[in-house]
Amino acid sequence: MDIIVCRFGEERCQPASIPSRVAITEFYRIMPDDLPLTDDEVATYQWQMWVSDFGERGQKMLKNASVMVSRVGGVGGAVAYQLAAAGIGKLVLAHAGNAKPSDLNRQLLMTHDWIGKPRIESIKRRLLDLNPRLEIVALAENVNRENAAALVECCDVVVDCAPLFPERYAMNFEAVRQSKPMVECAMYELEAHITTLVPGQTPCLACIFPEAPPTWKRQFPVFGAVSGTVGCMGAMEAIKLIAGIGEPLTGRLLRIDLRTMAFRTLKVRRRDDCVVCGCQGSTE
Amino acid sequence: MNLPPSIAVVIPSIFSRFVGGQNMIALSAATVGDAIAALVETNPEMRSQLHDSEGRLLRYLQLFVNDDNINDLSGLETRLNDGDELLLIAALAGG
Repeated sequence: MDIIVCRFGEERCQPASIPSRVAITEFYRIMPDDLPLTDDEVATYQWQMWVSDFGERGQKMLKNASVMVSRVGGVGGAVAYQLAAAGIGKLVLAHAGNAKPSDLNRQLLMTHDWIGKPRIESIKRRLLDLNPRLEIVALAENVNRENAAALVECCDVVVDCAPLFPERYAMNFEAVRQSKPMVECAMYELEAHITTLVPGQTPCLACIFPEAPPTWKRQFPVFGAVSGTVGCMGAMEAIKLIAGIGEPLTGRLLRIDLRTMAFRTLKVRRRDDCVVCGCQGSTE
Repeated sequence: MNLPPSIAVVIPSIFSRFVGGQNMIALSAATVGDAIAALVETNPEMRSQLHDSEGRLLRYLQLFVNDDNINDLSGLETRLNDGDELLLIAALAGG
């Protein structure tokens, strides 16, 4: 296994050695499960190990896996919290700025007493309160074209929860370039989209949406219950990818409308002319 | 003479302010292209949300008839049937 020193901290980055253009079924097989579970971990995760196709093997795979989440706000905070609760080995987190009162309706890793202080510190503190075994690589910046490569390099799976399209496209570009699966979670008001992108196998974000809406604004209407719902579902997609259970949303976009409780699964396809992944792997 | 099929256009909330707060609009149209034209005719503010200056659909949109992407059907020429739903799916980035 390659050891890469991450420039974002003293922690080591140990991504699984995922070959380029890896098939989704191969991804399950190459996820390592060589770190054994401690008695404390068995006691903590016993109830989820009762999930028949997950079991102890799935738990070991989670322990050996690393997931990048950015940003770590309403959606990403729920993703990170659920993955920490589930026993993920390492989280790679990027989120800039200081906590504000308007964060608190949805960003459950922020607390009232932390207003005015760096969000990333609150995120680390809250996650380690829940799971002190968790390894965290934390960056007090948002993802951009300059830092995306190094961040994605530190993880096995990316979960995209960013509120701006340039951040999303930067993560998508690097996930494709480094052949890392990416769970795409996005919401607006009471609606949300989730899909799982596997380079070479499924559309990438730029295949589905080659352009960003010109009128998209950083501030958007949101209930925490909506962003939390999306985040929990995104975390489950990451768990399924890592442990090789269930059917991830590959090639499918789940459209959720919590106003009507209508859930629709829509087929999405690669574009041969995609500027990001158009020449990679086979076209579905 | 047969009337065009009655369909429903499902409007994402990101567009609801351009259509008087509606999240579903009933209209009659023979094809997806006709449905989009009817939607824009009755809700002119939607024009700039759906089309560029040359009248092409903007690329942050995907259109589905029921659960099928129109790119897998006949694009804007896709024929509609009574009771069909036309979904407008716009890129979102709330996180």
